[in-house]
Amino acid sequence: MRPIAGSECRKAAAPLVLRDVRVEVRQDGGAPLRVLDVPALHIPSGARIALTGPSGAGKTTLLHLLAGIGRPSHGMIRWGNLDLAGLTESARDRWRRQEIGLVFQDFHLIPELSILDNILLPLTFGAAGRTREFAQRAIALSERMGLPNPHRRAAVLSRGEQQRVAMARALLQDPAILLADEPTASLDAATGETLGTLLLDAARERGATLVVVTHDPHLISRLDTVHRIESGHLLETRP
Amino acid sequence: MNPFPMVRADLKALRWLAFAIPLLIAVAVAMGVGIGAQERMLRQSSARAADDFDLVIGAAGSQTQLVLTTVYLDLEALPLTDGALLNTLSKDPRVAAVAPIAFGDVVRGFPVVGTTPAFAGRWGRVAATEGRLFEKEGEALIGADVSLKIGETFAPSHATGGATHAFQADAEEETRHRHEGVTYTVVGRLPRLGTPWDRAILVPVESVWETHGLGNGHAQDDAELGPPFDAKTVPGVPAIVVKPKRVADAYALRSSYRQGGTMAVFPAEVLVSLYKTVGDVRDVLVASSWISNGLIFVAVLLLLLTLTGLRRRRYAVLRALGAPAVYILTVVWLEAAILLATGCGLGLIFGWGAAALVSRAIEAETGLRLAFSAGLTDVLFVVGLIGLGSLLALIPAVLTYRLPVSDALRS
Repeated sequence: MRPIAGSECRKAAAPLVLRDVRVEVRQDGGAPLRVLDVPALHIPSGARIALTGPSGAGKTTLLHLLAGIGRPSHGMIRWGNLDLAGLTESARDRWRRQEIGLVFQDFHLIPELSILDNILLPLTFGAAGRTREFAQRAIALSERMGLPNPHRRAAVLSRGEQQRVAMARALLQDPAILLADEPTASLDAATGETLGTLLLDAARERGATLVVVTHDPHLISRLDTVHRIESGHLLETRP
Repeated sequence: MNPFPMVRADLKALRWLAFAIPLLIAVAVAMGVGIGAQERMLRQSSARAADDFDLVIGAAGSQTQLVLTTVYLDLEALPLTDGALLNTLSKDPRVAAVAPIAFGDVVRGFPVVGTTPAFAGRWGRVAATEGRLFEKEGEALIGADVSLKIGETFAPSHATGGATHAFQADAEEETRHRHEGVTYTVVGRLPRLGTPWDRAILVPVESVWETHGLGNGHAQDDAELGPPFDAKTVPGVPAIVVKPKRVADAYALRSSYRQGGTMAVFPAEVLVSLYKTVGDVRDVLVASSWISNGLIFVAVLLLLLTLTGLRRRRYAVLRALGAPAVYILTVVWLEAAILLATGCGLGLIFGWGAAALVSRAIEAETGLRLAFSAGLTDVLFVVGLIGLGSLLALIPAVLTYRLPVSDALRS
């Protein structure tokens, strides 16, 4: 697999550290309900982690906390020296845009846009905007993901192709952290396997931290560490 | 931040709605614009048509009908006023010029109007574009829209109506009433005045009198055309146009001839009261168009709100990918504002287009040309609507601002 231009200049990923993190939701005037309780979690830089557990256990909530999408009700989340829980919403937006690559179960492409425009879309959120370097990188990424024609509309793509576009979109800004929420659950086994490989290879090549919420036993077996969540509690870790 | 790729994608996702919404708004806005523009054009053009008719004197009766008949050639039988008044007026020191206006005949549906050469040339304001003004009895000067040729001769038929329908040369209705032994020869054509007078055939008033067996108004057969009319009894005329010397003279003349069986009116004055009625109708129509604008705006807004609700997840994904809340706000606002502004802009064009079409119909019916004028008020009205629309567009935009990203992603 050929490397993608521009990836050398990025700084290395920092470790993610969670301490006394709790997420509570208040339901219609009732007592607060604790949906997540993580006394301590250390994810070293470059680690490849699977988060498993039954539905509704709090896996996605934890993933969103790591992405800075939500804020914990209590506790501390640090990325290197950066205190995520202490950042304002817009600062977390910016941090997420630059440092995080997100892959969803349902791909979430914009069907009206082309493959290329979907990959480049996150650039239009900030001040930087689209540049020729990024456009070239997007084309290179789509080729590497096995998408030869980047001008096709996303609406006409197969599910596997859509997830390839979503992965190229996640990798565009060469993020230090890759977060994936059930990336293979909507795909058939063979496609899931291929995309799992692409995701793992991209993370390994960049030295990025990879956290994958998944039930896919094959994908779990290919990750270094497995964390299990049940009823909001981080139960066991299996190296 | 560049919201436009996303705005384009969202508008594309609307499919035919992206066309239907602006069209819907355009139709509503066009009503208000069209009504306003139409009324303004009608007012300007009808006022211009009355330009050469400073003061009109006729026998006591309906002031409105006197003005409609003389200025707009809406030919109704008017009571005649004494022709000797023409002589009195032409000697009056307050009068700069005076001319009779006499109807009674028609040629191929075009009214034959008897007057003086001076008024035929609009007191010297216009000259014939082809040929010349009439100089002696039996000569005719035609308006720009009369379908006769220079040098053609014709026999008039006795009638009053028919100002709007050009009959065939041998139409039964005209041949039955034709004056035998009376012929006119066309000697000139007037430039387009943009008034119903473009359909008139102007002849010496002396000829009109003579056609109807009233003599020519002069003591001698070969007298020069126009006042003074020195016959023993000057035949009556339906209307007299007076050009006063000064404004004060105009008012003095009007009060002098408001008694003793005559009436004197400023056409402009009658028009003002007509405009008031037209203006009241316009106000009602414009008010109802405002209501329809309001309803359409509310309907479109509700549609956009529903749409934004359906796109919660789509926008939550953008937020998860790092889009700041203000980006989503801008996208949603721009979309709504673009749809509303496009609709308003189209509405302005539709409204003007509709007014131009109606004007053409009015011109075909009356000969009154309604000059199109793109009024600043129309533009301001639409700019105001766009401003209002942009403010309303903030409502769905602000509602997405506090989108709970994590929940929306999982919904």
